Amino acid sequence: MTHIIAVSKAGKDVLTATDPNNFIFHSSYNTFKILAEGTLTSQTVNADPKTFIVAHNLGYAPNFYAFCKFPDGKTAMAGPLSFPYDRDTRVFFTGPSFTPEVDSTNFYFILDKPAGNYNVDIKWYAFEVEL
Amino acid sequence: MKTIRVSLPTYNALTDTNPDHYALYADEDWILIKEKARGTVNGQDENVTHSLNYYPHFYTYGEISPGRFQIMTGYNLFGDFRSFADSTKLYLGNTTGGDKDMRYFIFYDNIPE
Repeated sequence: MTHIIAVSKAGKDVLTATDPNNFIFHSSYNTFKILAEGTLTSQTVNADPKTFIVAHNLGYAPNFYAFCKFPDGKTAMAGPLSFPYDRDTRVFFTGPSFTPEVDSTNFYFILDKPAGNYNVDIKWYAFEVEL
Repeated sequence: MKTIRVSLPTYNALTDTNPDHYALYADEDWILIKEKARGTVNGQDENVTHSLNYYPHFYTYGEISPGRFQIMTGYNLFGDFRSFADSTKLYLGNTTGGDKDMRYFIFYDNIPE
């Protein structure tokens, strides 16, 4: 007999529920563990592009994710952005891209500098899964 | 309400209310849980059938050079990779002009439509 540990969401019967979305936790499904996390604060983007390098010392390229906080107070995921231009004008392709990369040694956080220097904060998470 | 909490070392599960101090905190729903599938596809315009009949949470990474991976985004005119999902498939593409490895992780967690 297979034994499991499961915690259902409020209002769901843990004994009869079968939809994975109805569980907070279910031992039949893997969960992503955060092995490490870190923050870079007040980093100046003074080149185009500028790459900030952080050693992770894991010995393999981990599954990871990162967020970048810009001077306008907004935090963004990876991708092209409109800062420093007004978001409401929808000026595409003129802002910087935030491009996070990883290998077996380092994280690389790459930012474009379409105009003057600016400062960013970067938050990263490394998960337990090897890419 | 009944709940289950498993705190990280040095934290008191009976009194601590910071979710960041827990290995399991069933008071709230979680993201990044309930992995359905993971794998690698190679090519320029690939897809993976998940058959969930809803839009799943997913992460994708493109191998920009041997052993170096880039987070794939939805659509970046100047980027090398892009990925998106619908209710049946995860789509992975690269515009580098050659075949590339692209890693994916699909979760059971439903992104509300």
